[in-house]
Amino acid sequence: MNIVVCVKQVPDVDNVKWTKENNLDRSAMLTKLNPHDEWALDYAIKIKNQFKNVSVTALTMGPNQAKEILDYALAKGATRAILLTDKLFAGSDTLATAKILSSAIKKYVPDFDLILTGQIAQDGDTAQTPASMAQLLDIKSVSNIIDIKNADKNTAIVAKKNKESIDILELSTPCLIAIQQEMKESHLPKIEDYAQAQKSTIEVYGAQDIDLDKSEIGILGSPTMVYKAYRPEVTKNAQEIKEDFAKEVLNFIRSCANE
Amino acid sequence: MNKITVFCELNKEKNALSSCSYELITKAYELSKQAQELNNTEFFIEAICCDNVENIENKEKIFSSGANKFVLIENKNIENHNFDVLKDTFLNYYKDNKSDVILFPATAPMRHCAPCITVNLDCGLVADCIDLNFILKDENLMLSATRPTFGSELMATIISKKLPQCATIRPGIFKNKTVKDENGEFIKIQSEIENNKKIKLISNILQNNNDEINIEGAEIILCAGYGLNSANREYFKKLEKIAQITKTQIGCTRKVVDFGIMDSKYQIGLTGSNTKAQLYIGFGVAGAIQHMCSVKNSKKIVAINTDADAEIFNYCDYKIVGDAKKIIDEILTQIEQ
Ligand SMILES: Cc1cc2nc3c(=O)[nH]c(=O)nc-3n(C[C@H](O)[C@H](O)[C@H](O)COP(=O)(O)OP(=O)(O)OC[C@H]3O[C@@H](n4cnc5c(N)ncnc54)[C@H](O)[C@@H]3O)c2cc1C
Repeated sequence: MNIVVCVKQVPDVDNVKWTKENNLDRSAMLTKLNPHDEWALDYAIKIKNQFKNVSVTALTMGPNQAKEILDYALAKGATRAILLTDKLFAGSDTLATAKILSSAIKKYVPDFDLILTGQIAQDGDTAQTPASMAQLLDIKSVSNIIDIKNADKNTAIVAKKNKESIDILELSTPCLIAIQQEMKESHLPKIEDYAQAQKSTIEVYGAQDIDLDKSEIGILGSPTMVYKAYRPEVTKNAQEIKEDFAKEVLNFIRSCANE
Repeated sequence: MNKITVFCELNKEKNALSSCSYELITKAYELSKQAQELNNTEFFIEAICCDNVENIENKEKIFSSGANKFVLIENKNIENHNFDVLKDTFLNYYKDNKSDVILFPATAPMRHCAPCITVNLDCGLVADCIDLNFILKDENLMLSATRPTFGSELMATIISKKLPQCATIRPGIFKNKTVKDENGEFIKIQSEIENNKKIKLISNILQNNNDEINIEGAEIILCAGYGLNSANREYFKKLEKIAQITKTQIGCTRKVVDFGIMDSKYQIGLTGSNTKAQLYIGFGVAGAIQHMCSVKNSKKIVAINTDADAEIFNYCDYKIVGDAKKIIDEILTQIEQ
């Protein structure tokens, strides 16, 4: 059984740093494996530990530095790691990214059974790449998955969270599953796991390796572009209420309710 | 002809369009007005709904909210948990009915379905937008869509170089209004499209949902922040009681959810619901940007915080520097009298 886990290195959004000019200071921010992707990885490893002959390929697109999260994925138990890196990939939006990732999967893991991804990436939070990849690979996909009950070479049974209910769904493979919730039994790799992981080499591929035209990747291949980015400004000047707090609060409620 | 298509979702209980669909129809109408002012371009507003449904209620409202035409495509094969049939049903109609702009509600199902559609059109899609405008760029009208990114620390305005220009839009951001009369063209299409990508629904477990909650539509929100915490967590219960008596809606911050005090359905913010209430009152809420991004659109914002420098005071119309617990006790005494 072959599982691909798509992972992304993201800046730590809990710890955002700004330059004096109010731009994001990416160099000052720590990076980490996107949490949702780690949960996807945890599920893949869990499946690997249940059966014989399961391969788990961690796949990422990013700068050379993104090798860090692949090392981490290997230490957690991934059996193979692929880094897609190229200047020509820079500036890819969700469509171009989905094209790059799906082309790489077609070429380097053509016999995949399952693709696991995180529901969202913490930096962009578009949640669009997984569904887009599934379309390009012509496979079925489900998202908002809070549990993989069972998965083998032929079928996956998953729990999907809706607004007011939970669906238990059965999908035949190959399929893509986007994970939204942390796996309970997750654990961190130990030092010896990192040592073991160093025995695996990370495969690195660039734009010429995947079968896509230059016009389909990076800025050229991205139909959307950032027109401007800004830090939301806060301008209001609050009027302070100095006494009779409870009465004033009640007055707000009552007068609003009567409007 | 220039056209904006609004991809509508059904509210199954009411057998009518979802409230976000109406919000987007009105926004499409306003965009069309904006285009007229910018360079005299007129847009035709088409609302479309594909579902396993014969007919729907309240079509007049679709037109009075701004639509010129409403297309209902019935396909018995459409299922809630699989978007491939829905996608194919829409694409089959779209190939002969192209548009310049397609707007989708950014609900969880649509955030999965919309990219399935746009990938097949090989066009862009801006996710989870909170503002839409037309701008003139090199004399071309372009849709500019603004969305929070980086955990809302940053706002990004995004344009699409290719047609159709597509975006998913957060529910509860735009207001539905009556903008014109109730006349418009209605067409009903029967579709038999199938898709071989079957996903089997084994079971559907309803989650306990006895109490009616409606953060997005609420007029008055009382929001519980972690500042209300105490050993026995009584102040969350007390605030709920106040909400019950005053017939207002209770909400909370993510920290309150993370600590298992209240259910996530009450959460307001980036990863929760939006509010555009007439009145929002924060009780012990710090005012993190990921929370405030969904509160900002409220008309009147009041906050109670012990810390005079709390971030939330920067977003407020009225501030109270004081102990929210004490104030809750006093309010309870006053309304119980
Ligand atoms: C990617 C991401 C997404 C997020 N999404 C959301 C989201 O959707 N919604 C959300 O809410 N948060 C979200 N957060 C979390 C957010 O950053 C904050 O951590 C959270 O909103 C803080 O909640 P709080 O204000 O209740 O708690 P705290 O930060 O603990 O603040 C408590 C406040 O109460 C005040 N206080 C203490 N005692 C009293 C008292 N007796 N009376 C009055 N005031 C008192 C304190 O001064 C303080 O200001 C997100 C974060 C990230 C990184």
